[in-house]
Amino acid sequence: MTTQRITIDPITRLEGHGKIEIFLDEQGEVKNTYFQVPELRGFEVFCLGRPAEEMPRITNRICGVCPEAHHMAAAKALDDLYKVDPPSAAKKLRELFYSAFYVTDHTTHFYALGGPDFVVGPDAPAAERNILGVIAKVGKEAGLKVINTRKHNHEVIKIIGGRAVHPVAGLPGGMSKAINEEERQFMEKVARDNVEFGLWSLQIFRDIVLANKAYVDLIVGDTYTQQTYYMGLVDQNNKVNFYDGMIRVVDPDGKEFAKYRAQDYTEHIAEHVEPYAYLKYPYLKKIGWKGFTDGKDSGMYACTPLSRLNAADGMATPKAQEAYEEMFKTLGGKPVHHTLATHWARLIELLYAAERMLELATDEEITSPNVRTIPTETPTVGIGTVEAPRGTLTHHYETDENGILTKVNLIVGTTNNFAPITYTIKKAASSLIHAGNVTDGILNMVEMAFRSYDPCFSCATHSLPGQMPLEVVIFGPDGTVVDHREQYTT
Amino acid sequence: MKTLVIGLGNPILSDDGIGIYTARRVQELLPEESPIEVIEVSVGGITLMEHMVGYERVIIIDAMWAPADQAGQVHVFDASNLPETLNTRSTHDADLPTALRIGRELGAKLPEMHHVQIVAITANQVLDFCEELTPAVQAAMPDACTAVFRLLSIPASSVEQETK
Repeated sequence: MTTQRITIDPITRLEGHGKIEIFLDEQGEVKNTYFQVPELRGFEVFCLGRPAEEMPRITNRICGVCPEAHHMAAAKALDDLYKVDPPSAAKKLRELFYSAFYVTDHTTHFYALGGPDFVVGPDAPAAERNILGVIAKVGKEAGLKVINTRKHNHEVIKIIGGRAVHPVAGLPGGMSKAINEEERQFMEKVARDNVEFGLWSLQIFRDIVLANKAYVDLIVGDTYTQQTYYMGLVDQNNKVNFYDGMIRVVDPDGKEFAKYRAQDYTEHIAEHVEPYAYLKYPYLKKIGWKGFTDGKDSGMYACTPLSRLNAADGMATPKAQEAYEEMFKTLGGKPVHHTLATHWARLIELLYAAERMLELATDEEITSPNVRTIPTETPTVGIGTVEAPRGTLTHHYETDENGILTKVNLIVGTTNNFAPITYTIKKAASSLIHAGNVTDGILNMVEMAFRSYDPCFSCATHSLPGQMPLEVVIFGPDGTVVDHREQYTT
Repeated sequence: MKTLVIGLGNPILSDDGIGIYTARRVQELLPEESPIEVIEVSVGGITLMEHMVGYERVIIIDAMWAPADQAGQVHVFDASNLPETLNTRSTHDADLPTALRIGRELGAKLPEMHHVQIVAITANQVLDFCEELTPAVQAAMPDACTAVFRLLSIPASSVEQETK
């Protein structure tokens, strides 16, 4: 039988190379979709035989988007590997650093990547759906705030991390250096500005997105809704935490399904392999892999800002908690299954990161010189987990008695979401493409489904950021190219 | 002219590190009292643009993907001739030309497009984790250094002598 094939290759505004293929039947309805990413070769092999303590410095080179997340996960894996507990000031310093990173990362996503879909409009010309379009709509003030927020938080990251972009300060047992009072004062000021920026960004979301009925209908519509399990790190009160805690999974009804230590991840997570994709699809082992389908019987889970808010009982800071309550109240209670609400959740997380940063920057212990516990144990196995902006990030190392790596396994944020992203694309395409009618606007709306995940395949496939140009190819029923679309961000 | 030299690339991705290694060599060859600053950067987009703020001229040394039989050539052009970029196009923010436009529109002091000069070394093996350059790309490093020094208006002959 003949089918029509549509390819979106790679996808605009996401990190790394991705390719969507949509197969249409003779009636022009969606028959199937495939989502593929290529792979860089040999990262694990590259690491084997090296001293484990190099990992915080090597893994942060995997990608230019979230080197800080890899640095933290690696440092925590080394704590575990050398069985050493960092002093409390070191943990606070790491979390302060990590909060500043979250502010920059979530800011970039909202204003440059996901935000344009809403702020500028989902069917606006591709050339306008970018950060410049956002600036044109919201005003130059927005652009300046974005640039300044990034700049100041990058300075914080540089001071604590010891180097711009690719930090070096995380060591087994803590940090290589403390901060002084002058640096602390600067960080406190940046944190206060961040809180204002977080509140201002949420107001933009209310004014532009929530005040527009068409956007709200889009968010809560069936096209972008899927019922999966949700995962996220939580603190001792089951509140969202990015740096440390237990991994909590809730079912599609919002009930706690599992809560476990990062070190026990292999008891809970297994990986499914498809012949056409390099990435593996993690799923909940105790439910099992049931294919790309949602609901309680499917082991598919999501791990995004929205998932983290679904998986927790609230936010640990007051203003973020208010915003959290507002979101769930507006969208009809917990859990929220509307993928596009992830953009809202991301802004709530941004506000939480800002408030948490302020708490830490004003903590009297934060300038303590006691930031390192020297390891004395013989290393064997170390597993460290943080919440990266794009999902739970786990580094798993095994070494010989000299600390030389014999095994390396990284489960990165986007990997967790590979199955739900694939499912989302299929659902959105099936819902939007009919009778072979494919426009730029429709293709962008298919892309919006997964852009809300802020997917970053660069390190999921152990690749680099921004590897590929972006284009869309559409194939006719006989497999030949009938249309060629480019959806560039510039 | 306040000038910055940026070595761009990833030193753990084989030939993608050529920009970084060349920048290190340029730094070694510059006179100690030289006002020219040399940095290493492994990111693109807005972050890359942010590094350029306050400079009148920027020279970016970077790998440029090419088929294997064309690896190891040195090309010099400026940012106004930059149609699309590979590693400097971070889709998590913006590609380099867009980032420069954003910076300018927001009033950041950035070099003119023709003063953002790119020394590109063609390279094929940029997707494998490895800390070594392939021989063809390694062999292009002296020419790349020479190209940088020509742009800096430092007599190429003296540098060529040293780089070879």
